[in-house]
Amino acid sequence: MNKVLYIGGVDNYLRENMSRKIGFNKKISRREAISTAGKIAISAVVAGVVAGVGGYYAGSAAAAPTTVERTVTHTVTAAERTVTTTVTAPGATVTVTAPAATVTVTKTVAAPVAARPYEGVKLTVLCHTGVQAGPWHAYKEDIKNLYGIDLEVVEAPPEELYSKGLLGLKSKPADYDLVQFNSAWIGDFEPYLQPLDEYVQKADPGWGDVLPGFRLFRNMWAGKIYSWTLDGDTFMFYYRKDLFDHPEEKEEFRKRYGYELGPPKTWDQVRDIAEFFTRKAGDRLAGSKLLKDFYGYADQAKRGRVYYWYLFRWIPYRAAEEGGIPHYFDPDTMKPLINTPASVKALEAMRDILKFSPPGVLGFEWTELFTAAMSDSVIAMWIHWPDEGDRFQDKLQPLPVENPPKPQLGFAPVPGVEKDGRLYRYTPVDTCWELGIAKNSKNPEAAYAVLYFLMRPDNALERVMAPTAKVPSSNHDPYAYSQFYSPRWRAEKPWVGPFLDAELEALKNPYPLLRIPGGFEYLDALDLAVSECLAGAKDAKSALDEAAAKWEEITDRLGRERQKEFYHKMWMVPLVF
Amino acid sequence: MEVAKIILVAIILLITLFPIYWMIITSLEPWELVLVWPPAFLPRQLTIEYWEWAGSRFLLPLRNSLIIAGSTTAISVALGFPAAYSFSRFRIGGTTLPFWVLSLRFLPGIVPCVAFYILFRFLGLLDTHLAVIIAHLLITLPFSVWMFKVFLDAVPRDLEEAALVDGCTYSQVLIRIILPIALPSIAVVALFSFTWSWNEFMMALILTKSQAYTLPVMIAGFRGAGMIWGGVSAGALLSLIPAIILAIFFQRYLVAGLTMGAVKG
Amino acid sequence: MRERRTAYMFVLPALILLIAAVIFPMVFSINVALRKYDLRLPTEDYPFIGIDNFLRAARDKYFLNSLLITLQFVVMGIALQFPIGLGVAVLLSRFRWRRYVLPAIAIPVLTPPIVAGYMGIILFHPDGVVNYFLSLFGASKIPWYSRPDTALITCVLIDTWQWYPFITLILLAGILSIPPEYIEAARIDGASERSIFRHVILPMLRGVIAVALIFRMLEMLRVFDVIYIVTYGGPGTATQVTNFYGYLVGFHYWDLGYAAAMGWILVIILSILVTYYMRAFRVS
Repeated sequence: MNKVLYIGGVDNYLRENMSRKIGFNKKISRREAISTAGKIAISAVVAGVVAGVGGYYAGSAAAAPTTVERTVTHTVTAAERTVTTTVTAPGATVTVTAPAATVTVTKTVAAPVAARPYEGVKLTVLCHTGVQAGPWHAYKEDIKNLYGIDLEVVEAPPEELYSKGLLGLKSKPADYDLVQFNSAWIGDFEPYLQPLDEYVQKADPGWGDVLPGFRLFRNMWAGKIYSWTLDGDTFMFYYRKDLFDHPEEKEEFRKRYGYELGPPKTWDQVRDIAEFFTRKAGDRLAGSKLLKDFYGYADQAKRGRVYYWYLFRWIPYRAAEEGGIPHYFDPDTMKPLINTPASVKALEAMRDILKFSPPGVLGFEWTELFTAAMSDSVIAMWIHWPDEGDRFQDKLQPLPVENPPKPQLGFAPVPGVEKDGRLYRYTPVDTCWELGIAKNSKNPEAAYAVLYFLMRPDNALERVMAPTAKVPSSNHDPYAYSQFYSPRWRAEKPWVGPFLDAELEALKNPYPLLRIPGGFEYLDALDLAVSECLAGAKDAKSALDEAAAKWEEITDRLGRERQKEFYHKMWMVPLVF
Repeated sequence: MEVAKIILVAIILLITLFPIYWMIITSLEPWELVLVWPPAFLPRQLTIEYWEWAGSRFLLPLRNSLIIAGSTTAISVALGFPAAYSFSRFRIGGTTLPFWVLSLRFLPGIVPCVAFYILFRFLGLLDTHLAVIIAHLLITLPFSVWMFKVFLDAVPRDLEEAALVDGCTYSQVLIRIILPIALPSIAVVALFSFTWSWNEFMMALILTKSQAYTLPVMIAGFRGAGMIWGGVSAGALLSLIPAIILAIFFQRYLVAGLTMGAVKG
Repeated sequence: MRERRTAYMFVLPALILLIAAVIFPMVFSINVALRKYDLRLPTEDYPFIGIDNFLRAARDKYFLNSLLITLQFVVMGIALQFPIGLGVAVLLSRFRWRRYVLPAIAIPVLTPPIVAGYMGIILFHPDGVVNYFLSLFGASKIPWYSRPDTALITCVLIDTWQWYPFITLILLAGILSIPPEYIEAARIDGASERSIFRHVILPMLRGVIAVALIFRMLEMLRVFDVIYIVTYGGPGTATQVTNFYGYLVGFHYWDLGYAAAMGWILVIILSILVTYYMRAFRVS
């Protein structure tokens, strides 16, 4: 962007539009108009002065010492070596009978400082705010010691990461050298991100170690490496194992439904089990009396998030319909495939199960679902990110009955759909969070050094194991084999082993979420349709038809051919001419 | 009668302050227990981790918020008052210019955000107090001008006219005569400008990085799994404390202004 | 003329700042509204498309629906906040110890709106305090912000808690600046408290009431934080007010041109309304 031209453009606009602006107000006389225009000119000069002063101010503000308490700064001390030299006191008088004194002098000699490769380089990283920024603050000092890099950590809430990131990346030089971003935005971020292939060839922190689901469907784009996984977000199916294992319940279920009670493989089974377990306070559950109303199943059904939970059904329903990979668009025509008969059935099934969910489910965000399921313990089954399994298992409270069994959390892959004897079952790989390097960065090599440092197996393990002594918080989930099979993790936290096994098993069938430009807009349209249907404002078919119409409109607006190209890049399918 | 009034006021205070009390409770309770039924009026489990977390992070944004909100308020009043006087007495710009200038508030926040981002980036003013102050003035200055104008329109001109005839300059008239009368409006404008700037989130977020960010940006940053209720509550309470101190201080001003206005007749 | 010169001098500092802080974004936003200003698109040229964005908004049923929802929000809000604000102001004007009450009353206004939103979620949660009190009277729990028909009211209630004190403070300032002689005179003449209120206080407050109402109305038309935190426009589009829709379009779909156009339509509608309103309320 040619800044000089642009600001000139603004001046022109001011001059052009002044007259239009004045035209609104008939009361100003011509004389006043001229004097006002003159004042504008004066003001432009004054504004320039203000800017100059402001620039000075900016300089001093930037130099002002900050009072951020998080980091403890200590200067890097060069290694000290103690040198003991015995110095004989110079004494010419030989006649002195006293023996020559031996003096031990300790002289500190600075050992030569190992040259730090990026001494003095200043880099900025944009990351997710709060606990997720933990690793950055934990490693800031180590990065300084090892590389000489001064790392500035800028935090932003997740929704704003998109806008702040994009604005920052587009600038030259980029405002951020490293960005944490959602790989669903890769279509929009691609022009401003540095492909990492060459760097990885020279210094590989473990490319093959990353699970294929993350490697292919998140880190890569159009055959190149554009980012590295920070947080291995995916989805798991959770259920109350203490409830499912109860002999009385198992017996009752078998009698009523004709098959064994266990973690459901299909969505039809989910419905059965949900129906079975939805009971009122006073009924019997797990062998004793219920103290609160209990519900079989719950989604995170709040507007803005609910599309995930719809996709968990859409993917297998559509896969069964297709007999194979369910596409979001027809790869040849880019026709949206979200309102096919199976899609409609999926949404209807989702609405149907609402009657087995708590009344506030349409307002459930992450915390509400977690609290209802783990603390209030009033949900039998739910689907969520890996946090319950890899970090918060100890927060599971006992069932709300008079004599609760010992609380136990069960995990399984997200259910699928069975058709013609074949089970179509996928684990959706969420697109967040990735770490990328800005193309416009003033020092991409230094930035890569930081990325390498964070993604090294030892540091990466520390990160996903957090809270640990080194990294007090992170909320990052595992994504690499060395983490899943880590002996240290499984030894330090014995309860995590079964979960990691279950997640590994689930990730054998990964499925990507939509990652083309405008990804958020497409998904938001779908989200709105689902939300309206669940709220009862529309029936499934018309809601999805409208969403499909919106998808067409978005595709046309962004350029159908361009979107097709991106959609192919997402699947790495060669463009057919 | 007195008793009835006291009871009514007590009820109003109770309802108004109850959410604040709940904030305190929430900030001391582990997040996973906040939404459990039945709601607990005293924390089931005490934890100070949120206060530690918020407390260790809030000094810098506090300083920034004070500087930014204070400057925005001072400038809005200092510049807006004379400008409104002009608009009111000399009919500059007619009656609609002030309103047009006010209208900018209704654009979805993103639009001025991007405008300012581009401008300040060009000027090298990103992540400075000045940038946020100017961005805030976008809202508070027009409002101040408009508000002062409305108040000043209602003030009869006889006093000024008498003083002018006696040979005072306009500046003297403004400061000696109009200002004391308009003190209540100044208090209101200052209150509004300050609280608006103090609470403003979006521009502060976009225009700052790690040096100049304000309290609302800090509080919003406490969102995120596991931190949300306690962190946000502790952060909010911490940012309320200086605001309340200022409000108590201001309140004396407000009362002083009001009594002066009453004496005027 | 000396008068003119002084006048301009008074205005000049404010005008300079107004240009930097107001005119530039205003002009910029008009520019944006007339273009296909989609920051996602890689090319740096944003083609000029005239009033296409405006026409698109006029056809967009989500935009039109959002205007309706916003209107509902404002009407409900004013209907609640104004009587409450006025009532409390009158009460406090006759309360001897109001100086101790005022800072407490100001607290909701000093709370960041997102925090009010979060507190709203906690208090109005199906397992929250509000439902707890309802259950004490035997009523069943209401999913306040999860039901399309109650979600908007919930947001109105939260907004009311936060902003009625603002109205109270402004009106209180107005009441207390009525010269006491007028009230004394009426009292001496034997008028009752109620008729003093109706015939002395209320008319003298007209200007202040107008200011408070207009201001509050304008602010409510811009409501954002509460919606963003509590309902995110939902369930469905039950709470999708215009500013929130503009946020989605501008901030998430990155269609700045369209967002700016929607904003300007709102500005135009509002200026017509306010001009009419101010004329109706003109204080002579």
